[in-house]
Amino acid sequence: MSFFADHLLSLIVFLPMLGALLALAFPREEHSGVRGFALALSVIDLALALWLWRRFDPSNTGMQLYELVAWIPSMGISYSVGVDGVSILLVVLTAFLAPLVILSTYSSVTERIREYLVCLLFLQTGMLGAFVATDLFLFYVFWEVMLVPMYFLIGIWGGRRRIYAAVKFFLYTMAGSLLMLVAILYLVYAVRDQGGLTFSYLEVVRRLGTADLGGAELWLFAAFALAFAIKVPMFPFHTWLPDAHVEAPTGGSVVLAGVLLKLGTFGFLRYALWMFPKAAVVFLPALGLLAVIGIIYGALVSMVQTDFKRLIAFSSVSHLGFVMLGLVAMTVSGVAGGILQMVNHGISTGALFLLVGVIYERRHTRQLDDFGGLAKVMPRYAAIFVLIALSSAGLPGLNGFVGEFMILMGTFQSEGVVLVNTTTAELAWVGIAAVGLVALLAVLLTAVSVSQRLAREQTGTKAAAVGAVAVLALLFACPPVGNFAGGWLVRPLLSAGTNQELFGEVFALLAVLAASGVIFAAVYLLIATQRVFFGPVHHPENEHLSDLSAREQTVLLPLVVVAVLMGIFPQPFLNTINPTATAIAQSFRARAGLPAPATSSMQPAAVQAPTVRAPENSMTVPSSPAGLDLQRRLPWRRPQNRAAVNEPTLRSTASPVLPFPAPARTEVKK
Amino acid sequence: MSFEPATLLRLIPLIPLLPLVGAAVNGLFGARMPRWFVSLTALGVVFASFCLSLAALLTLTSGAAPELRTTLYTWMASGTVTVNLSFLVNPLSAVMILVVTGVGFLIHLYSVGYMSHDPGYARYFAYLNLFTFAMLTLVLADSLPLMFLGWEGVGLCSYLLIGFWFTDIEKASAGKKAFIVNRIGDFGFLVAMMLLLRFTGTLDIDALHRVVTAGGIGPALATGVCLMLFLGATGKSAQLPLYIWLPDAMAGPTPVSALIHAATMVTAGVYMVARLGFLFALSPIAMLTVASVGAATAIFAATIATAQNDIKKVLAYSTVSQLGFMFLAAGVGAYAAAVFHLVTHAFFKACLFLGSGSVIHGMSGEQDIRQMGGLRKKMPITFATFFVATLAITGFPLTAGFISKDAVLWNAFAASFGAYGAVFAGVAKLLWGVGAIAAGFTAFYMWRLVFLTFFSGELRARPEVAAHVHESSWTMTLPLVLLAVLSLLGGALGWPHLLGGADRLSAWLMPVVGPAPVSGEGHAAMEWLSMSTATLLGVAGFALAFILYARRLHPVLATLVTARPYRWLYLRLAGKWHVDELYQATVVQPLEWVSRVILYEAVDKRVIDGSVNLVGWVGRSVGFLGQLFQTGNIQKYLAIFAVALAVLLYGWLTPSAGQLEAAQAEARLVAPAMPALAQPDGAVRPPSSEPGKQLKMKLQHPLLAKPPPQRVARPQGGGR
Repeated sequence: MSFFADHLLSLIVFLPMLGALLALAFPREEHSGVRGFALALSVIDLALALWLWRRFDPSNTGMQLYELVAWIPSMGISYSVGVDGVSILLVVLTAFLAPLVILSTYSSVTERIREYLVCLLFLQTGMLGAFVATDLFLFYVFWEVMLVPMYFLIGIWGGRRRIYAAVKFFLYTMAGSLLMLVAILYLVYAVRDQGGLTFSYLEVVRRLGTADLGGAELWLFAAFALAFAIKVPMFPFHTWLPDAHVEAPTGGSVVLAGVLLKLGTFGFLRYALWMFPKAAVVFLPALGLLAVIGIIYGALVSMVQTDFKRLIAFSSVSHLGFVMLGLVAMTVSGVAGGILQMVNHGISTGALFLLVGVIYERRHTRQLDDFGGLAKVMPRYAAIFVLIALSSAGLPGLNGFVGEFMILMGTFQSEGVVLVNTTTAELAWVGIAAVGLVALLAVLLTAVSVSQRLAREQTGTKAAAVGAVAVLALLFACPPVGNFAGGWLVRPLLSAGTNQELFGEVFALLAVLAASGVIFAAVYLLIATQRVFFGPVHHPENEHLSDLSAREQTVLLPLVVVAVLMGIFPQPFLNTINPTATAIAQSFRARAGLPAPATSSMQPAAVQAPTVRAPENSMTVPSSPAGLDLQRRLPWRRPQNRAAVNEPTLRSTASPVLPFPAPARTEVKK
Repeated sequence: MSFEPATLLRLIPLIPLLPLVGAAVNGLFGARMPRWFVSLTALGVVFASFCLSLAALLTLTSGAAPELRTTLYTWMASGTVTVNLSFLVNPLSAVMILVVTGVGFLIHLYSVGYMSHDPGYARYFAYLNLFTFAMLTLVLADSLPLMFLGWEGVGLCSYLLIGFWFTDIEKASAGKKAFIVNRIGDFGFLVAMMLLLRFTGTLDIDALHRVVTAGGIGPALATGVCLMLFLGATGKSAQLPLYIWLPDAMAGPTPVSALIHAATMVTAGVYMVARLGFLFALSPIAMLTVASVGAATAIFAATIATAQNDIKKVLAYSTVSQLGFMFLAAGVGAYAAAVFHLVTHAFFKACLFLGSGSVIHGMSGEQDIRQMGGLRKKMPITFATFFVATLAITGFPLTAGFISKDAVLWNAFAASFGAYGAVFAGVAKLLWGVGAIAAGFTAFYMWRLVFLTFFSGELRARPEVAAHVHESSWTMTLPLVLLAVLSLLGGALGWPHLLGGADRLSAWLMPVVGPAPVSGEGHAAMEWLSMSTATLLGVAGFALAFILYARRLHPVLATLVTARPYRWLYLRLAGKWHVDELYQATVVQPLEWVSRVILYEAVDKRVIDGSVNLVGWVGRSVGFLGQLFQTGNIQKYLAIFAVALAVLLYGWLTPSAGQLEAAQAEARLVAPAMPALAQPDGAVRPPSSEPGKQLKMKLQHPLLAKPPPQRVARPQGGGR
């Protein structure tokens, strides 16, 4: 027992692979046996993962349950695994989804079930291994191992265009990960002078604290970031995802959305951001912007989809944008929210794909228009779907909200990344111009629609419409003159703009933009819900669909329960995450030269609040050097922070640099 | 019934949680249970909450504690975000929970009769209980995120209940619209929370209050926060520009319209502004915005209501208009008046909606008032209660609506906008004038509704409908009667000083919302003026409606409705000022078009995925070219080998830039005295022009000990 306890992580990781090998021994035609075997195995794995969580000590921000065995000593490569507050929940999530996916195959997969299960189990080992690996080479091996079973899952059991989707998935991910391999090799050779060649993640990170990579750090970060951005996927590297999701079988989609994508965000946090903070800080605004574009773009594109799975795939782009935003904001709440949202997304989106699978099995179509009125035919199914959709849309009380809320709040608080230092006046005019442009556009659009329908309908209607828009435009965009006339929307912006720091902060602006994602999330999910479930039953085939079977309920119920519990009692999860998130945000910011994150919940309010009112004439007097000083206009960061980066003493500060203190449990075997 | 505060503290979380339990029981098991069980559970939990609310109120009135605050547990805590599930009963929330559970209970009772034939009986009561839970959470919450939980929760229940009869796609769409428009407001709420958390470090309302007292929030921040909060309020409380969902929300069952879309949920915005009045007080701009939007909405919606023919649509626009009155009061700082009008509105509007439900029930689902007429004889109790409630809403002297509307208008009349007082002095009078005219419109459209429904000759319905018209059962009429009594006498809560009262509601709410900005004393003449003007306008509205609609339809009507140029106005009013079409043309369709055509078809499919596929295509093309070499023909291989060898040799023998440089350096080293040898083009001409010697010399150079790698396309086949 002690052996198992000491090698718990390895056991969890390799049990599925062992199962995959044993599963091959089952006869080809006999289905129930191998299914039961795989299911039992995955349940055991889940139990072990829960035991792991129980043994995990949240207050320790280092690697826990650490195992270390030399593997290729001549290259400094070892088999070393460990979990921290970031990976523990993802391990549990992976183990949690596995039995549900296997259970769902009872009806969704009818041919080559044994091979299907072998792929799934192999995939699970790959994913778990990538989460727990603490050796760069080992991580890369697991990272690549994942690709193969997923490739087969899509390519063999997929839909009509499965080969295209599988090849696209494989090559796209491969392209990114090869860059990462190059970066890993460069990295370990770059730091080998500090005591020999090693691929050990902890050792490399420790050495990076004192090493000076110079300009290469930017390239290394970019290589890692690209590999992970493809996996996340971040806009604009996302196009493999809808194809893969649409073509993949139900189980493949669930694993893909539930776990595989998390490896991208996990990798971002663990490797790209963590190892190269000084390079990362250069890219932070761009990454944040891409994340927000992903949030809005994914939601808008999701809104116009007709294929159910494609819709959910684009919604994943949107949701993972939230995760990325929280992570790159690098505040305690942002990082913790990002990690929690990874789990939440795995639960809700995994459940959504399972739910789509349920009706796909009955009707063999994924087109929204082929359904309609299902709430009458399948009431229990509809109830569960609506609940999960709401959780995905971030309704308070369900799991999605907690993560999104903390990401938004955390991101808005992120300090130090300043894109444009503007004066109040500049900002106010930009605001006026933007609102005015929008209003103008609205007038034009109305005019177009008027001219189109003029012949058919009464002119008065349109005249009233144009008039109303004109009034609105005036009200919104008219510059504030004197004390109160017009520009009511612009005025508060103007006076609030005296607080330059707020409006120069990239992440504050990004958080506001991201918050608009809550609107669009409601739009696309409710549109999908309405088209599938409400209205009359159009298609006669749908009239006699059976509601959820007992097995299907068994698959979905755990997800529903977890979605509700995590919405009401998220604190056990947050308690696991918080210390690590705090350590990450503090250490990252210290190393990147950003202001330290606020950690306590109560701050002296009076100090920070902008109490100064805009002077009345601030509109017309831009500060004179502003127009010429490019340095001041386009800094990535605040000047004082830039000074902090260059401060030589920072390099030698030992304690905040060390991310992971000594491993909790170390055993070296040669 | 007054408890010890300590005992009661433990019971306060039960006020919202009991309905949640009811919702869970009915939602999970209700479908398999008999109807009496469903009704008993649903009504029982709400009644229990009502009793607890009453106990809480009595505890407060007994003076045992100024307020009751309790924390259930920490919802989420990470970094700077700490959210406690804490509930607060103070004078303001005590009033609200009594309204929610009291009126809520009556509407639950009414629903037992109204929904008795519906197959979704259990589902209906589960939603209704869930709504009660969310609304009570919203009201009792002592932290903004918890309030947001209730805020979104009531929106969800509204969505579910509007689309309750989901097989009708119109109704389902109305629910969707309500949810999405509300979410636009919720965006504002979220941004306000972000601002507050960043600059004050807390989202607890209690702590925010302390921060404000300490002067920790400047006017700029307050303006930003309050405008964003008010955006949330315009969504939830159906104000301009986000009111468009409420008229459509009438697709839900009528008791739902009474409870959610008249008495409780839509007043959440008013409640929120009153609850956070200490923040709004910091920003005159935000206050003026609230008041202006309120007044504008009041008159805007009232004009639309004059030309609607659906009995519930008239009441819906009336609700929007009355909510405008509440915001007008809140905007001038008269929170007590706003809450007072909220309470009396809950009484008379719930009564009106339930009355309309009774009419619709009796008319077998008919909602068009042109099909009605003369119903007073067939439905006497419904008529009597409807009539009383109409008296109240139109401001018949001494009814509840009269008293509260007078409080609103008088406060607007006498308002001063703090530091902006000098500038906005005239604005207050303008707002008052708009409000008073809106009150006149209210009288017109409400009496028009009453006359068309209950008077104006005989029933105009089809015979088969007319034959079935009947008065409703007691479960439906009892709540009507109770609400009518409250509509008549509810004014006693805040009887003004002017009429010899003590304005007890203002005194009661004072610890929370502060004193009213103007008191009735000392301005008696002006207050009489305000009161009588509004009343006279109301009488004018009544008179106009009486002439046009009471006996029979007046001939002038036909002219107004059909003849040019008068019909222009009528068509605009009947078309609801075409705001829905406006939004459709300027927001919905462009967004849809941009998403589909620009983002998905062009950007996603063509540009992004196109480039990905282009890369793949290039790879495959290179492979194809490489494939051409793999013919299996030995002679060809040898030929390619020979050519490649030639190319390689050429590349190896031709000096590269680096070699040239090295050689140049060497030349300078060897023969510094022979500058003529260095050519202007940078090439070095060795002393001897013999090629073999040149090669030999270069190879001897240490730099050239091994030949540098050459980049030459290797003619291998590409992967397939």
